[in-house]
Formats: sequence, C-alpha cells, structure tokens
Amino acid sequence: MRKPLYILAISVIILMTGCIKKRPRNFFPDQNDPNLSRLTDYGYNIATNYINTLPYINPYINNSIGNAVPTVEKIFTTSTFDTLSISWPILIDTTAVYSQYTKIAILLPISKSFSGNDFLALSGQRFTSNTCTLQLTQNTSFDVDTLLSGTANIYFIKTGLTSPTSSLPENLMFAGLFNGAIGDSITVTKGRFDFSIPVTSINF
Amino acid sequence: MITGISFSLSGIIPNFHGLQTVYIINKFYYCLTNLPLLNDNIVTMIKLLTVSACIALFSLSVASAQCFVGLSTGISKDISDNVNQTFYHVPVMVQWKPTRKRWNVFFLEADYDIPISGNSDSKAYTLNPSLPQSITVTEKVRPYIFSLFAGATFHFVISKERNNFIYVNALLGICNQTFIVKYAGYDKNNYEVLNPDANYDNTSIVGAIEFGYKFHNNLMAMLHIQTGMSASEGNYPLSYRFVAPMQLTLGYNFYYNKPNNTRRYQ
Repeated sequence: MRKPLYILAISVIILMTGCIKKRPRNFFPDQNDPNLSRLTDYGYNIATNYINTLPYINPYINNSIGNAVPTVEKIFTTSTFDTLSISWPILIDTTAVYSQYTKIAILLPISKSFSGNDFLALSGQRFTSNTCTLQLTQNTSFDVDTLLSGTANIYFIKTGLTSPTSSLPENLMFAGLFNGAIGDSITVTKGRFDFSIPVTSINF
Repeated sequence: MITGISFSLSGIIPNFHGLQTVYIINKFYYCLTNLPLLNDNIVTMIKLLTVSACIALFSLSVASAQCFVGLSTGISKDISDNVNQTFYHVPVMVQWKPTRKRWNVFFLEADYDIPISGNSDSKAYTLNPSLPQSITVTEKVRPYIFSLFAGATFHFVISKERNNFIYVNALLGICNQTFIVKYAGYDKNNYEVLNPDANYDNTSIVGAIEFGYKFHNNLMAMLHIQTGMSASEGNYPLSYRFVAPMQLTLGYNFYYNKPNNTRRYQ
C-alpha cells in the first residue's frame, strides 16, 4: 500500500525540481573568436578571454546561482591612492585541458574618496597599462597557488544601475574589454566582460 | 471589421446570406485573440486567417475553371515591427492550380524572397590606445525567406467580355527565414562589436492573404500580405525580428488542360 505513496512523493519532488528556474549560462559564441562569448552589455555575468591562446571563462556554479560573479572591492592602502580591484574565478570550460590559471584580477588606482557614483562615471573610459595591474592566480601544483603580476588595459564601455524589482535588488552593471601581459611569456588577449552584481556587494 | 467585410461582400455576391455565421466567426475571433500567452505574431495570424475564413465562407464565388501555373515577381517590404532595419526583397512566386474543376478552389504556392536591403549601424570598441576608442560599423542583415502555401482562391468577375476578374486568395503554409549577418569594413583584430547580431534560422506556420487582378487574359497583379512567424527568436537578443512580407507582384499565368468552349473565369 505504501509503494504507490512513495512513487507519488518522488514524482511530486521531481516535478517540483523541474519548476525551479535554472539560471542561464549566457554563453553566446563569438563568430570571429572561437570559444569566446560575444561582447555584450546585457548584464549576463559572463567574462571570457584567451590566456596564451587558450580560452578561459568564469565558471557556472549551479542552477540557482548561475555564473560566478566578480568581486568588486576598494582596497584601502596607506599610500596616496586606494586600489579598485575587480576579480573573478576562471577556468577552461572543458575537462580535456588543464586549467592552469584559476583567478584573474584587474587593479586600478583610485582616489581615497572613490564612491559608487565615481564607478558609474567610468563608463566610456579606457585605462592603459601605465596605470592598471593584471593579476593571475596560477595553480602550480596540488593546493598551491602562485600570484603573478603584470600590466593590463581595461575599457569600461558601459556602466549603469538596474532598477530593483520585487525579487532582485538594485544591480550594478558594467561591461567592457580587457587584455594584459605578465612578462613575455603570459599574454591575456581578447578579454570581454559583462557583469551585473548587487550594489550591496560592493564596499564603496 | 469582419462583419463589415462580410456585409460589403454581401452586396457583391448574390447568394450571400451568412449573417449568423458571421456572428459565430466574430465570437470565435474574439475568444482566440483574447487568449493569454499569445504573442503579436499569432494574433496577427489569427486576424488574417479569420478574415480569410470569412471571405472563403461568405464571398464564395467561383474558382478558375482551368489548370494554370503562374509566375510573378515584384517588390516586397517588411511590415513587421523591425526598428533597426527596413527589409526589402525581390519576391519570386510560383502558383499552381492543379485541378480544373470549377468548385475546387485549392491551389499551391511557393515564394522565395531575395533580400536587397537591411543595413544598420553598430558600435565597435578597441583597447588599442593608438586607435579611436569606438567606431561605427555597417551591419548587413539579409533575411532569405522561403514559403510553401496551400490556399483557396475566389474570383469575382469584372468583365466577361475582356475576361478580367479580381480574386482573393487565402493561404496557410510554412515559412523558413534564414538571416545572414555580416559586419563589413572594420579592423576585426583590434575592434569588437558590442551586442553583435548573429545568423539565425527558423521555420514556422504562417498565414497570408492575397488580392489580385487578372487582366489581358494571362497577366496578373497581386498584393500578398503575410503574417510574421510565431517561432522563437532564441535566447540571445537580436536587433532584427522575423519578417512579415507585403509583396506587390506582376506576373503571367500559363493555362493548360483547357476545357472546350469555356471561358477561364467560368
């Protein structure tokens, strides 16, 4: 008698699981650059780039979180300028190739009074390797990470705020391009990002 | 509107007495178009098909009493709500009425629309400090449209002596639209197009209505209005939408298997 009840309960659970909305990957392949996503400004939370010709992407966490989002933070320093850090985890989206690098960060010098409005004012601004730093976290061996530093270029094509809704808080959107190099051996090329993060997650 | 069309047609067609059926079709139309979850294309298709059904049911006259193959071409303009591009095509249309029975109104039609325009501007950006940080790139979108229809044709005689008549065709079929996107004349190594469009291809059921005039025995002029497609346009937001062509064509009918001593409109 209990067997039909078990079957019914399992069926209901399976049906309810199907009702949970899966967050999309939002990877739309660029026709010109194989394995990179298109340059978009829709807040898709996707970033792709080549590191020495290998395509890297921010990972997909799970159905409820979706793509890994970046960490945007103001790092307070004792010097004249503070530092704006934008970082996100990366991987090669196939098991066939080992992901040598696990995280990418771009650092910009900012004023001590840098605020959210200053971040929005970055829209349309291009920063060159004279001022920007590129950091790559390299997984050299099991559980050992090495931080590598070089120079970066970054272009904030668009920044903006999305209006809050009943289910989502106000979000900070920013999209653009980046590239960089660490010495002569590591080059980061064709980088493009399209992020949307809650404004509550930033510390300025 | 449907009632109006039917009433106006009742003046032309002597055996028209379908007022009750007009009422039923009106009710059917409003029920369908007020259903939730219908997108604009489906509603437009329902409108066209309903009008076509009204014409088919209540303005029934006669079909051509001969078999024919019709060839026509002309110009086509997109009447969907495409904002960034205005699509023009050169349509090539083939119609075939395989039967010569007077009351058999059915025929087949194949349309192929060759795109001749559809340009818009996009922005491209670069990190290279020695280059302008953004440029305008010309985007060429070319929708190739192929449609296959089965339809019903209804003729109204204008002049028996000259063998001229107007006709209305109601069609239902499938349509394939293939969009080819190209960005021309820019440095692909240094610049990246923001929110680029991509090629897209889909097939869907469509409806159409045609108003034509046959004159000088074999010549015809025709206005073809087609619904947009109800197929999905994908998850990625494209700057273009499916095309709903409105075609104005001129053509020639090749009659064959002619009955003896009968005029073509009979």
